[in-house]
Amino acid sequence: MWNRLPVWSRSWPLLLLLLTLPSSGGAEPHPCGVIAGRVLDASGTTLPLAQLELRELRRGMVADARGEFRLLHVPAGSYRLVTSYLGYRTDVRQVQTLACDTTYLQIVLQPDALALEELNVRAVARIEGLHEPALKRRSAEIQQELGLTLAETLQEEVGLGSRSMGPAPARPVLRGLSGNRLALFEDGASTGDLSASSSDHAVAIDPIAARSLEVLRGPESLMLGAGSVAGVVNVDRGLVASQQLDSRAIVSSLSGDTGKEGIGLALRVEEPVGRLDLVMDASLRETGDQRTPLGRLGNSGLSSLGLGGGLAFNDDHLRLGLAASHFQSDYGIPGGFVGGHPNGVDIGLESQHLSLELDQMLDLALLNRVGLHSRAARYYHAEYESSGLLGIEFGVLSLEQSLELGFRRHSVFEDGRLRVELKLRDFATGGLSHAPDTGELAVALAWLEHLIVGDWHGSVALRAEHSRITPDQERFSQVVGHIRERNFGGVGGAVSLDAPQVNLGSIRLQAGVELLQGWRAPSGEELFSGGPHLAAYSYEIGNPELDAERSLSVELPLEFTWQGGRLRLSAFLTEFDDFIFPSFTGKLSDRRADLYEYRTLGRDARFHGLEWSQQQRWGAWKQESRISLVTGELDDGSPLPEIPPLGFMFGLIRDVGPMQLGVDLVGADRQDRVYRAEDPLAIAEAETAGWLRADADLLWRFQAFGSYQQLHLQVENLLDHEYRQHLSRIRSVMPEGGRSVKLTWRGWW
Amino acid sequence: MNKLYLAGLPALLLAGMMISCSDDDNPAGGNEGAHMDAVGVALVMDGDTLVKAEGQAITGELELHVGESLGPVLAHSLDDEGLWYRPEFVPDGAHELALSWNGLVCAATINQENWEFTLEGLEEAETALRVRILHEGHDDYVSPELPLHIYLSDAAHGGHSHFTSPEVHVDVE
Repeated sequence: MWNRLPVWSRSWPLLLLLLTLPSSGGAEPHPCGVIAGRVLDASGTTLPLAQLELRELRRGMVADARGEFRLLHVPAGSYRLVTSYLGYRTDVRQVQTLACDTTYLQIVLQPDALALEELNVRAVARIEGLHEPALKRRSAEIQQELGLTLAETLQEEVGLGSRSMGPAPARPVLRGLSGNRLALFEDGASTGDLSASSSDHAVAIDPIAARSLEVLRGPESLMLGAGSVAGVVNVDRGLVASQQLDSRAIVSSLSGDTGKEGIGLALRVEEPVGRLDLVMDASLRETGDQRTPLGRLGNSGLSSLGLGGGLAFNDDHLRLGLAASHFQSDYGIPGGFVGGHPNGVDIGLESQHLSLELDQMLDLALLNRVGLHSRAARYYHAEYESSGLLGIEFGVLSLEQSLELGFRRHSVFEDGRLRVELKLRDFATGGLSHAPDTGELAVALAWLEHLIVGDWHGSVALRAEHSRITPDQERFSQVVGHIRERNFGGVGGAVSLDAPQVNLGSIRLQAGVELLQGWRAPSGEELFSGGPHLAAYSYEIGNPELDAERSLSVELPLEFTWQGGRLRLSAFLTEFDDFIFPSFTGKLSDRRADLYEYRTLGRDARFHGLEWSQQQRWGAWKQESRISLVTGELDDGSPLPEIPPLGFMFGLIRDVGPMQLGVDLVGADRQDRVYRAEDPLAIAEAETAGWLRADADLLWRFQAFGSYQQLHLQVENLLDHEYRQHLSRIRSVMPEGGRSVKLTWRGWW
Repeated sequence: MNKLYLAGLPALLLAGMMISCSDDDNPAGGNEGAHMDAVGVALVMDGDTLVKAEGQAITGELELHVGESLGPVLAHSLDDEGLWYRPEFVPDGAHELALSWNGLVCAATINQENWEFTLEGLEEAETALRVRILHEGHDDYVSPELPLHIYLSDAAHGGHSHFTSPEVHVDVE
């Protein structure tokens, strides 16, 4: 696949970029303005690590441990400075700089019941007039919810769950949708792993190394893919510094977990080296078998290592950087459960990335920015029998290139972007797999525009894609069908609109609407698989006749805010044409009569549900609750497999000086709407009982040795209650983790 | 510093690295006909088919007596185009014939060169046999459970034989 493309096709973004880069953009030759200051709260206490951003220049920074910040090389002009901090209302102010003057600010933030645990698109859009991610977590907040995996870190957010086959290979699920419909990105590009294709494949990201993470939905997610109808989870690792560093910064963390007998370490160093900015990070995890109320879950441990480094050049108009990373993980899949290997399986995974990022500010009539991003990835994983014998292996080589143009604000339009993408993917298997090697080529053109008309805010996006999937050999298989080259093409679109706030006495109400038309080409694995899958202990059969999956989603959010409180309700509906999923047939394979067959089908389906998210503050007390309900069914009304039941959380938090004490009740209803294959003899998906568990935590933030420290003590499943998650494939043999104590320390220097 | 050079050099470097990648760099081994395609098995002795499995459909059964041997039994495979064939012996041993059953009711001697085996009955049992084709130690093919009846010796049953030839036949090359 790789060699069949002409050389120019892999270098086209560079050619376009060289044509657009001006030798002199008419900009200030050596901007020397400075914006500096401190971030405080109303009592005069400094707020360390507050986040600041100059919107028009797309430059951000983090205040230091003393709450002080300094933005260098700011061209003369007027800008919006946005300052945000956990638990405080975001501050937006206009800042004027002249020539080489220093503008000094003292920014006082007001506490907000709309705590930054849940930033929602519409709330922030009202404040700032700009589109924001549906969910955003920054470093300190990530540490509060840090889990072994990205899924565990996010699983208690509204609408989010976790699909797993043991603690290690868990993947997020949003509103019942998983796989490629909820794309996982790192630094704006696909991870290149195979976690979307099977429950035993882990995500090649360790959340302990994340600087921030966000969930993008609607028009913003369309810029990155029309198939991610549930959204995009983007983990910002920040190996390419986004602005010039003025001093060394070190972030370190250490975590321990009694339930998994685990320890985690992470270190990040940012260092200016002359005119260049160096970033390096490392992470390490070791866990043993998970403890449950019924004993240890055998073969569920994990050992992982992550290394990364980046070198960047930043000045007033140019950001150029190279980054490389390596991630490896060895983990176990327990055995003996329905749909699993009798003796368990061991998996070794490794992933490398090399990326180039170039962002140039422009001073043209129409354009204010051009960006070129290239990312090459190599992924490999092997599955071993308990005897040590190699069962199956997977390899993926991928290359993603994108060219993005940013448009100037004009009339009611602002922050518009045009993006051109090229993606190449080479997929191969070995061992006992019968899946053919495939090559994939995809090209896309995407456009996004934000609009502000009076008090109305909106966004609109369009994306056109073409995808070609080519097996290494065209042939006819009695098991799979006609294996041949397939071409897919489609257009996706999204519109979101927020109405102005309405005052109802002491309550403010805001309503919005979001429409998204999605489109997703089947993957090579969904089309052509035809062989046993060791860890899943199943015989997987693809379907070469699949059509592209098309969807139409509508969401109606409603938000009420009052003094000290907020309630957000959301109703959503997604209709799918040719929804692709592996159907458990209940039949034994003709080739491997010890394995059950899973056949990939495309059928019309529907997802709909409701979400509730509420917060209330009384002085030092804060109470919050979340409820998520989703129903997934086929066109005949029968349930789809692996749909989470109603889930809920009720929490109470008390601030005691620099500490925060919290208690949560988390649970789910019974799930008895389960999938049954058409064959009456086929085994049905197992039902799951309802459950409830209690968690407690203590968070302590303090300054010591000139640095900012955060210590978080958590006790999960306080009462050691036995419960099972419906999306856990191993629930037939073991419940979820029992009582465990987790201690996480993080320091910023 | 001229920004064009600054921007262009690293980009050229990365583009050159991408150009130099080839399919051979994929870390997975690839699948070039390394597997033996089989969706059925037939066990034949002296020209008669004792038992046959075409997918999950089984006809016939295996019978032997305690203390007596059954064999040599030749294994024939059915490919996914519906053709019966006998695998060729490959000296490097990438493929091998294997059998599995429950308990210690019989013993088997397998001749990999001829793709055949001999069974010896050890104790009376009504059980099942699976025929497996291994590729580098893992299963390429596993048959459904083929009925296996092991009776006490003819002498113990007054010389009356329970062995019968099933009325099935498979065309083999």
